[in-house]
Amino acid sequence: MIREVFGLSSWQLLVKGAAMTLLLSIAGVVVGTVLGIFGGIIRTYPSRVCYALRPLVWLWVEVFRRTPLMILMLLSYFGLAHTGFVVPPLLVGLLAVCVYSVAYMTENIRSGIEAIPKSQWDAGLSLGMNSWHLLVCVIMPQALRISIPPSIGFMQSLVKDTSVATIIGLVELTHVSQLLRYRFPAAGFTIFGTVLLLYFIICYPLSWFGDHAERKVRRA
Amino acid sequence: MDVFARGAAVTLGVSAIAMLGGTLLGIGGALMRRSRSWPLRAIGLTYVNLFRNTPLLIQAYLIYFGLTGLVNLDSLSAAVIALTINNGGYMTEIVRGGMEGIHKNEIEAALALGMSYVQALGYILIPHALRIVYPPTVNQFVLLVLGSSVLSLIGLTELTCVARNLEAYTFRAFEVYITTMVLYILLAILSTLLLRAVGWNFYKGQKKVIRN
Repeated sequence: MIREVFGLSSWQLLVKGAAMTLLLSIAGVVVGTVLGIFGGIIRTYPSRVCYALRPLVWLWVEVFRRTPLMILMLLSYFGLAHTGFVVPPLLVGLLAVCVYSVAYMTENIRSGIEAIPKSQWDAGLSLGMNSWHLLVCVIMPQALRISIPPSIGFMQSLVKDTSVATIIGLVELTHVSQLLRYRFPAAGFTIFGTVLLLYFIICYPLSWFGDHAERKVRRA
Repeated sequence: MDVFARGAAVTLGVSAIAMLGGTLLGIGGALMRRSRSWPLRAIGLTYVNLFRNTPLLIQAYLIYFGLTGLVNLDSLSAAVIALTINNGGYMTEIVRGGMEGIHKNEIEAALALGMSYVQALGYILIPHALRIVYPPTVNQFVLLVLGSSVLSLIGLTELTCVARNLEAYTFRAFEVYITTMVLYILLAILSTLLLRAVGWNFYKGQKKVIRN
């Protein structure tokens, strides 16, 4: 029984599922970090453009941090199909994950920028730096450093959260576990135990690294 | 609308049970992680790492589908067990953080006054730690409300499951899911406000302690 469950085709499925899980998480992290930096700047930087965009970013953060990723997936998949856009599930999954992670990363980056004392802005301005130069060369390097530990923590929880993408039919690790269960109904414990272990192998280094980074930042 | 209310009630109820159970597990786990004997510490560490580094959905699948040979759980009890154990992992770390914030002198003072170690834990350390961890616990409750949405996949009829059924009946996906989204946001905001108000009343005279 066990030997059948762990045949070659099962492993191929598991590897494919893990690859999809990683693809979703990495896409979410990359898009989330890039847009999150812009979002964080918009929420803190004093300029007319940023003031204008601030309510929009605020709404984005407040709404998407209080919505389960699953509802975002369902909304963007079935909701979009309902309005006439038929989008392939992979694109929908990526869209939902990115929308979700941008909201969290914006919040992380913003708290990093706000942790920098106001006196640094005053000091830079009085040295004659213009404010963009000040932001890019003085504030952001320190702010990003502070926001690294919470961001790694978020990456780890994003890997876990992508498990809900199974609901729109994306073949990631969780979906694979269901497929294998249909194939071998009696081996539920083995199958889910294996998938649990695979998630652990992906997530544990991230959470260890996050704790390590937090200790390092706190000491500095 | 009626269905939505029932779904929201299930979501809140399951989260509340998991919060209570999780807090108890968290106190036990935190004591284990701070214990002097290394086997207890190892068990606590394994519990925390295992359940915080794997998705709730897989844990729920494992309990619901994986244990069919041993026990046959219905979806409600499987969901409650999965959510409680999962939350216990997070609460262990939260409570441990609170206990770390308490000065060693307090325990020593209690022991010097003739309390036994268990009395010192029950009357001094645990109540004091719980007071400190109240604010992060409120956040954790909101995460539970949102996280419990994945339990619809093992057949728990909470808010997400209700929405999916309604969509299957009416085919009005967009309206149904937007409504669900708004409901989740409302649940999150309302439970934060309510729990904060409760905490503010409960710990009225002890604001300084909370801030410490």
